[in-house]
Amino acid sequence: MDDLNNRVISIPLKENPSELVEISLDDLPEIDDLLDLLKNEAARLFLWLKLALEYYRQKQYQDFERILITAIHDRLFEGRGADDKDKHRILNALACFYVQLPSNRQNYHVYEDWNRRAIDYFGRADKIMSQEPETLIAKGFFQIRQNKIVEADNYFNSARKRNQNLIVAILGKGLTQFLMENYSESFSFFRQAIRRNPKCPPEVRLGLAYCYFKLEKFRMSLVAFQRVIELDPKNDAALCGLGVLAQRGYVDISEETPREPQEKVAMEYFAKAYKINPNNPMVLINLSDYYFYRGEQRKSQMLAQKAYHYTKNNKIKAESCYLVARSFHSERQFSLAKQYYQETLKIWVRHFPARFGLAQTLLHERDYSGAVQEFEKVRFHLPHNYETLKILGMLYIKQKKNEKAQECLEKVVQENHYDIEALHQLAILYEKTEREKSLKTYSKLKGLYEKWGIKIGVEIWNNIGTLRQIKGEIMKGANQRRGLEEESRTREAEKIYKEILEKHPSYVDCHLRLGVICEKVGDILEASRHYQKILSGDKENTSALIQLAYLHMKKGTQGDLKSAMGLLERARKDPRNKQRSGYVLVALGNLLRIQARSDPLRDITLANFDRQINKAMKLYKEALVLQPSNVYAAHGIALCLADKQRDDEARKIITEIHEASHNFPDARLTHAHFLLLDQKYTQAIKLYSACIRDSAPNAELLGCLGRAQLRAKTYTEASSTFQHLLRLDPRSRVGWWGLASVSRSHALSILPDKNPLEDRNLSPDDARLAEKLFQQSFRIFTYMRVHLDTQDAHDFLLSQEDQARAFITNAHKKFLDVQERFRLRQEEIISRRIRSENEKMEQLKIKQDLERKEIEKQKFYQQILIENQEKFQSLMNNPNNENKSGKDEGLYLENVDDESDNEFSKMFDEDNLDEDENLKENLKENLNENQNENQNENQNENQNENLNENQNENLKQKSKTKKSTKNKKMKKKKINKKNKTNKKNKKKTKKKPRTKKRKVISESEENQEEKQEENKQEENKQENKQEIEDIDDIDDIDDIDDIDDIEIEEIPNQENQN
Amino acid sequence: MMEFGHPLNTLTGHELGVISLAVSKQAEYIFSSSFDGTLRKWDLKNNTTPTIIELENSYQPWMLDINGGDEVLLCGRDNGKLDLFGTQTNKLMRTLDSDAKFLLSAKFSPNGKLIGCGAENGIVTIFDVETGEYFAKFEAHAMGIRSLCFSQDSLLLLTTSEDGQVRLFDYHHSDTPINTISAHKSWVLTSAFHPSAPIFATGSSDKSVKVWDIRNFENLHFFDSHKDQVCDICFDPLGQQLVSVSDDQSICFYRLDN
Repeated sequence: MDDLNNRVISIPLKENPSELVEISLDDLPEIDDLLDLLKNEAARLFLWLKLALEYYRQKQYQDFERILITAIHDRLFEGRGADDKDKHRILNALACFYVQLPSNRQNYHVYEDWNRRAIDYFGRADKIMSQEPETLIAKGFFQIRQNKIVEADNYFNSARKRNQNLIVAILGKGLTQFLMENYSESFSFFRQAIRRNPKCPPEVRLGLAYCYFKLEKFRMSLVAFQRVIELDPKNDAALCGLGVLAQRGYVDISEETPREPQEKVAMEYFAKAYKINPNNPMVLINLSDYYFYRGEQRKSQMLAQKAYHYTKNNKIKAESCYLVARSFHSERQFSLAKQYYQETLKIWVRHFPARFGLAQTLLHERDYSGAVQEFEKVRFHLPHNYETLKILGMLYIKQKKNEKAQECLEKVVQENHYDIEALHQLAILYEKTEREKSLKTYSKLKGLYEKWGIKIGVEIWNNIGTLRQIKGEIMKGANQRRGLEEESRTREAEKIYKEILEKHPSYVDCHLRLGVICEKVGDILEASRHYQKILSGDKENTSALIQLAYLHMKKGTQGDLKSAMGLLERARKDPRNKQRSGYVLVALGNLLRIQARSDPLRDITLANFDRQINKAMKLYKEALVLQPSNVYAAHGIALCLADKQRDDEARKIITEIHEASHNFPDARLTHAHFLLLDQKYTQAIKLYSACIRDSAPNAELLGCLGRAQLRAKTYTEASSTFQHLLRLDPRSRVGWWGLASVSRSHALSILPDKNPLEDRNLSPDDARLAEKLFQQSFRIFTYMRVHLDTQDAHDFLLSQEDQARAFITNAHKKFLDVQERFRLRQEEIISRRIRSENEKMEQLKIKQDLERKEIEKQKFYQQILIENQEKFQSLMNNPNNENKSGKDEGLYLENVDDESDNEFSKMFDEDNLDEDENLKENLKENLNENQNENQNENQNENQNENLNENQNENLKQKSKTKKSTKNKKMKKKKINKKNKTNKKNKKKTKKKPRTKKRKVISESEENQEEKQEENKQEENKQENKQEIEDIDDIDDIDDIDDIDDIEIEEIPNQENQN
Repeated sequence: MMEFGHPLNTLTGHELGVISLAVSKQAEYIFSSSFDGTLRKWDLKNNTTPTIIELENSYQPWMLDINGGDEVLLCGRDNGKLDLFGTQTNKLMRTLDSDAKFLLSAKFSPNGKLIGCGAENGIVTIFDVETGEYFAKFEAHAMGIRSLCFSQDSLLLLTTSEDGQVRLFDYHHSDTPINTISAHKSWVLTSAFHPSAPIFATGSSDKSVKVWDIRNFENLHFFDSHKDQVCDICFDPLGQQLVSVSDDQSICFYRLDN
């Protein structure tokens, strides 16, 4: 290397060393000739090297290789004369040659071969002289080639330890630092190298330029590249760099700030570089990129593929691969693109654009989970990448992972406050969970649209309106602010809808929403007007048809049900709306069920009923096939099963639905009904209470709860529930009926048996309470009959029965009272008799008369009692005699028509009120009489007391008992006769019509509880109960005689005892 | 909220729940209507057994109110009729017919000249007490009117309904409301005007009590102390407190500072 400037190399001849063969370096001989010469003359090794280098310099690389290899294999390489240093240098040079070679070759096997050779030569060189800085440097570069940057750096470091001034080592350091991305260190190494050797090859300055570039000092980078071009106008790398800078707008050094991207200038640079070196991968990549954007995909692909083949750098390889993929992607050759993307990622795992592209191709293949996986990988490394987040957001929406979608979109919106799409999607997402936020988002969206002068989509208006409306409903507040926000949401929504309608008069959704609002506020007419309007524009609008049908169903008359049916059939035929067909089917099923149940002849045409229910069930099943998770359909099926009295199946389904979705209110309610049926009252009450808690004031639910409580015999609670109901709906038949029934049941519960006469232990207090309760229920039933427009036969019957019962109880109470008084009175008389021996016969007579009167009164009450019993029985039976085929309503109507004349009120007026008053008057009279008598007697007593005490005792007793027993026996006979006739009558009337009556009762009961799921089982129970009661009845009547006997006999016994 | 001691007096006698109360201005006597179908007058001074007031045809008495002079008791009926009783005589003075359905609410105007009543079909009827004629009749809501009240100057009428709305009427001049607010999420069961300030309060089935500014219909306060629906509210005569009663069996007192 010392003789660089000597343009001639002299080779001394072997024979005669003083003679020299001069070889001109400017005109190198044929390699074969030269090799012959060198061999023949046994030229010294350094000469071989010198010549080889000269060949290298003149870019005859193969000749360089041949010379050195020949040298190594020559005899003289191992000979004594060979200088170790020379040998080392030759080996080193050859190794270096192999190290640098691969840069512009492609065959991998060959490359491997070279690497092996390089390692081989390095090894041999090291054997000769180890740790030579040159070898170290060469090895360093070799490591760089093999991407072992850290090892390379170590080699350079140790080389520099041995010799600080080795520029190559400094350059190596610069390179390794560059590769290790320590650009400022790298920069300082390159600068050091240039300072040491200002005449260094222009490539060194490239390093500087790259460093500047990486440090984003683009202007300085431009300066450096231009300097390289100045020195070497044909430096393709520098041209390429200039091109890249031009793309960034750096063209002129004098300009401080960059211009617009200068694509054209950049292109010129790239083209120039390409002309100089058509294989420079960087240039190829840039060109490919350029053509990609020009839309010339073929060229782009070709160039990228070429770059891929010519580069050994993995990143560039990956990049070129990516470019090919991208180009294919843009040509919609997704499978090819996917392959190339995958290849890219194999080479360079963190090539995110490629991963992004791969995800997109997966997306195109509808492999959503795969795509999500890929996108998530991108997101993991680039957590703020806007595009990725957005696509991920959309994908999660598609996969219904709303939370994740929301998270992604929230970030998107953070990155870009104006992303309308993301805002819109986010608003939709919030709709389901956080309405507050949704509304805010919509408002923001609205603001953006307005700001940018974009026409706001009606959907957005609509959604804002809906949300405000919903918010009005759902908002739950704890402070004033929230209370404030809650205010007038519905109004606002309504206003917005109306606004929309002004702009888009035929906008369907608006009418729909307004209709729903009107419905909620109770304006059914307006609501139906809105629905009709939709239908006038779009005859087959499913939503409107369904809503309208439901409106009709709410009204519930037969005509309404028919028109609802028509509407739903229309909706069902509409082929467009497949998504909603499940909904339509369920609605149809509901309608069929309602129709079937509301059929007045339901029990008579049972087959028809069954057919209807079967039809409904079929519809529900269809809906369930369409939407397997449709709870409404499942619920419908359960109800149908219940209608068909397949209770166990229905119960099972309902329990399942209830367990699966606790918040599905219909199922909860039905579940409660079933619990009630199963007589699990506590649970039913609990569920009903929960239903009530979760709903707006609802009279129907309270009715159910009240009924459950009534069955559970918690009378106080039931009473308060029914009163609660009546507060809500003062005209509720259920409420009044319930209140009356509670009183009645309570009263009945006090009376242990149906016939109060049988119970000897009934205390007057209990009798009084029972009477009061009966009167209460009786009063309420009367109230219902008189003041409420509607009242069915069941109530009518009940009120008759109650009235009769109340009367009996009342009479019994009085009977008990009278008996008590009678007894007291007798005791008094007896004691008086004992005391007054000298009592006059007149007095006795008077007393006996009085006693007779008492007894007659008692008899009279007995008679009343029995008559009432009779009437009660006949009342219970009467309706059936008159009313044979469930015409109870007719009967009722007749009765109501001539209110004053009807049998019932007659009975009521005469028997109860008048009789009652009569009784009262009688009682008063009695009392007065008694008092008077008592007074008289007392006076008498006082006078005669002492005188007659012992004398008359026995006499009186005897005469008294005789007379009283006589009287009593007389009475008894009478009573017996009457009872017997009664019995006959009863037995005549009883047995035949009973069954019919039961039917009437059960029917009317059904009417009463039409909305409930009560079914025949229960009716049967009631029937059974009734029967049992009936049987009791008969027994009661038989017993009456005995009672009388016993009771009446008791009195004389007592007397006797006394 | 303030704490109070034990009740002064417990009046027992009604067999079923009490529907409405009307108290005389000096708290000398109370009228009560109950589900047991009776209308009773309780003498608080002498504490004697209550007088049961005879009702024609044994109807169900509903809302009660006493006029400012303590002279007349009005009793809303189930068939849209209003009975006026003399508070001293306990006898029926006159029956007014609103020709509407069940009267859910009925009130005297503070000047005692008018009676307003709201029916379950949303019709408001205002009677002139002297003549017994209609003063005004209009459809205020589409659903039942749960409460109504007159402003202190008797010029404005506030109605609250099951649809959650509250409406203010200048009934002397127009049948259309001055303003409508969707005040509550559920039925608005009760309302009351402040005796002096331009504010009013509403109570609802949504368990909340709200205080509103009448001028701009701004929600001034929001209370949710109750655990069940709020049945009734009223301001004390001095306007310093607001009281609310609820189905949760509690009474809440709110101090009004401004």
